[in-house]
This record gives sequence, C-alpha cells and structure tokens, in this order.
Amino acid sequence: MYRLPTMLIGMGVPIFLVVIVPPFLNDANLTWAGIPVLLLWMFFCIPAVALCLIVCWYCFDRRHYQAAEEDRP
Amino acid sequence: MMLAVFTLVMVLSIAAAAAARFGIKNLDIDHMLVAGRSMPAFMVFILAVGEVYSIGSILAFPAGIYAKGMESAYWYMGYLLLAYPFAYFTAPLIWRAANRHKALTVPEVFGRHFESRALEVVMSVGALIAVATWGQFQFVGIQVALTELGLGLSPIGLIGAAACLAFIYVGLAGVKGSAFVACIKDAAMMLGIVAVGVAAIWSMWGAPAEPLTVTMPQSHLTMGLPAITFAISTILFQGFGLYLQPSVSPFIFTGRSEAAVKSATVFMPLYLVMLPFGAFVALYALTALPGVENANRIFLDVAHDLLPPWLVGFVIAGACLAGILVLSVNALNCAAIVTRNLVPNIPATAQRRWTRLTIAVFLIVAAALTLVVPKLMVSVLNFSNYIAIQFGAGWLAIFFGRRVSATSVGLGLVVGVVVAVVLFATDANVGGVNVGLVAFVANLAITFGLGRVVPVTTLRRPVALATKPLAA
Repeated sequence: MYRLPTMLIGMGVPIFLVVIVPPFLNDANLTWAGIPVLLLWMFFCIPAVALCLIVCWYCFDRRHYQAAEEDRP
Repeated sequence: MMLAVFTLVMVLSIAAAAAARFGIKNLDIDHMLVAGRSMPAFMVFILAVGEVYSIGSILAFPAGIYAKGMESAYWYMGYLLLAYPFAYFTAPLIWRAANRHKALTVPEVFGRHFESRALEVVMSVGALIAVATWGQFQFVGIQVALTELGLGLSPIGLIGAAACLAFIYVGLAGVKGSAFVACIKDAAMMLGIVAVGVAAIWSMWGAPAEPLTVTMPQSHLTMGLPAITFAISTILFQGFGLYLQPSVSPFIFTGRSEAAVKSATVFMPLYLVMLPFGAFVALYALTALPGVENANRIFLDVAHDLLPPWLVGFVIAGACLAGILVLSVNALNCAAIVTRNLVPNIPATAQRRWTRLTIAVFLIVAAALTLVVPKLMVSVLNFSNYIAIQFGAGWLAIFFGRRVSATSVGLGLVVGVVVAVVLFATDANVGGVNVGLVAFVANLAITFGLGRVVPVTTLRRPVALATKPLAA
C-alpha cells in the first residue's frame, strides 16, 4: 500500500521542513521587520506541505484509489 | 449593527442544519452518526478540518503568541502542519477498519476487531472522558465570545443559548447537519480572521507614513533548548495522534470511500492559511497594545479597535459557531458511545431517540459543570488530552498488528494513561520531552510486546494488509 516515493514526499519532506529545519532558524538575531524568521518559515511551510500531499495524490496514489471507486457496485 | 450581523449568521446556521434534513427519508442511527457513510471528499474535508479548528484556533493562537511568542507559535503551527501528512496515510486505514466492521463509533471498531466486549467498554470509558471534556471545554470560549456582544445576559443565559443551538445542529439531521453548519461557520470564521489580520497588517505597514517595526520582547523571539525539545516532541506526538483521537476519527467514518477520505486530507494544510492572519493580529497587539493582562481577549480587543461593528459581528459569530459546532458534534459522539457501547441491549429502532436524549443530558451536565467548577474542568482537559492520543497505539494495532490481543490493547491504553497522569501530576522532567510521548512509548511497548511474552490464541488480520483500496 505505502510506496517509498509517497512516504518520502508525503511524510519525509514535511518532517524535514517542520522538525529538522526550525532549530537552525531559532535565533533572536534572525528577524525581518522585527518578525522572527522562524515564524515566516512556518508560514512558508503551509503551502509547501500542501504541495507535498498534492504531488503524492495526483502523481502517485490517485489512480489506485480511483480504480476502487470505479469498481464500486 | 454588530448584533444584527451576528443574529443573521446564527439564523443562517439553523437554516443550514434544517436543510441537511432534506433528502433523508428515515433518519436512522446510521444517518445520524456517520451520514450513511455517503459523504463526498468535499464534505469530509469541511467536517474533518472544521471540527479541528475550534474556538481555540481563533482566540488561543493569537493569545499564545502574545503571551509566549515563538514557543507557542512553533508547536501550534508545527503539530497542525504534520497532522495532515500523517492523516494522509492513516485516514484511509481508519475508514477501512470502520467499514470492515460496520462500526459507527470508535469503541465499536476496537470491540469488533479484537472480538472483545470488555475492550469495547474500556475504550468507551476512555473515549467518553476525552470527547466529553473537549466538548465541554468549548463552553469556556463561547462564553468569552458571547460576552463581547454586550447583551447583558447572565452566564446561565449565554451557556443555555449555546447549548440549545448545539442541540439543534445535531438533533435535526445528525452529523450531516453539523457538516452543513460547518460551511457557514468556516465562511464566517475565515472572513473574521482575515478581516482582523488584514486590518492589523494595514495598520502596521499600510497606513503610517513610516512602516512600523514589530516590537517583540526578547524572550518571545527565540526558544531555549528545553522549550524546543518540548516543542518538537509535542509536534511529533500530537501531529501523529490528531486524527487518531476518539473526538476526531469518527469524522473519517462518514466518507463514502477510502479515496474520498484520502483526497480530503490533501488540501487540508491550506486551511491553515488563516493562522498567519491570527499571528499578525498578535504581532500588531505586541507592538500597539503591549501589557494587556488577559491575553485570551487579545484577538477580540484588536477586532474592536480596528474593525467596524458589523465586521466584528462576523468575527464573534465565527468564533461562537466554531465553539458550538465542536460542542454539538462531541455531544453526538458521547451520546453514540453511551447508547451503542456502554448501555447494552438498546434496540436499533430506539437508539435514535436515546441518542437525542443523551445529547440533551450531556449538554445540560456540561453546561452545569462549566458554571459550577470551571477550574476543575480545565485540569480535567489537560488529562483528557493525554488519554485521547493514547488511542493511537490501539489504532496502530488494528492497522498492522497480527499478534495483538484485546488484553494487550486495553492494558496498553491503561498503562499509557497512568504513566501520563503520574508524570504530569508529579511534574516529572524526562529530558524535556512531552510526557504524553513517553506514556505513548510505554503504551506501544505493552500493546505490541505482550503478544511476544504471553501466547496469543487468535491471530488478527491487519487492516493495512488489504491489497487495494475500498469503497463502501
């Protein structure tokens, strides 16, 4: 059921973005107009994580699941 | 004007709940609890994502940034951001398990998968504590938001009105009514948060001759090592467990196929776009309104400062609807657990009547507890969060476990809850890691380890081993 590309893109990349990168941006001197860059990074993660799932669904998983829908009695 | 807009939104929400009843000839218990397992991806999206964004997302997120800065912003956004990738993989399996066992409630899935009435009862008690306290907690936020209308109503009047609306939302058409109301709530909530956020951004960088620089206390800009350790462990723990909690996973049951629930999770992260607007409200407040004592009111204070009254009406309506909706669905979940899993032998034909009666009793008891012992209920909520995510180990056993017995799942849940409560109550420090995660590891060890020590008589068929996706 779970294939390596979807696990990497759908789970690995979001964990990298949300858990691995933030400690490196956790610096009081890293600000833009007074806003912590880490906060701006978290804003960036919203479309980035959505994009990961969109790629997983439309490029890898959708056809398998749609086949089951078509088999529906 | 503010009151007129608020009233209009509330009337629209009742009309939406009534509209959900059309097309259902016979509102049986199936339709009431899981909408006949017929919802398309869009409705699963609205229901599942909408229920997660309670009144806390509107009021507590900006309040957290105002009070604690990055420490609060990072874990809150982080766990929600990871919850959807995890749900992308687990939600279809939850739906498959419920569909395989024709289950309408979470305890039913466990009881039928492991063929144990005792496990069903244990899971029912755990789920009831988690779901009931989360639902009841909504009253606290609803009270804050409704007070802003300045109607001069007593707390009993405010809470009574909220309880009546909650009953109408699910009493008329069950979970489908809740999904319809969620559309109105999302529109009002989005409009409210975006309006206040844009007004805050405009005040800081649009209108002044010289753009402002956000002023945050030094302690708000960064996190110390203990704080970041706690935040990362919390993000992983809560992100993984969000959709496995008994208050959230029933929404997955309503989908019409695995494809519907999986595709619904794909766009869920985009719902988080409202959080940056909430964050800008907090940044504006830190810059322009420093030193406010009650941070929980900061979002509504900024709304009153920057917006015309009619827009404030939308903001308050969105906040109230968010709270009342979560309250109503949790009341429905509690009632389902009581009538189907805890009290045995209620005939199927009488279950709908008993469910409505239990919803009413739940709302009355929850309202009374809010008024009489509010502080006690906040403490119980802290414990209930630890209980809720412990269900994750049981779900993993259903997905992947072959040598797992009902005893190991039940014992794992009990051990997980006890470890969490003891660590929490004694204020224990386990290297700065969230104690819920430590308890979850203990739970997993019992759930999957006991079968290696004690011989298992029946091998289970893991849900994840099905060869292809299913439709109802």
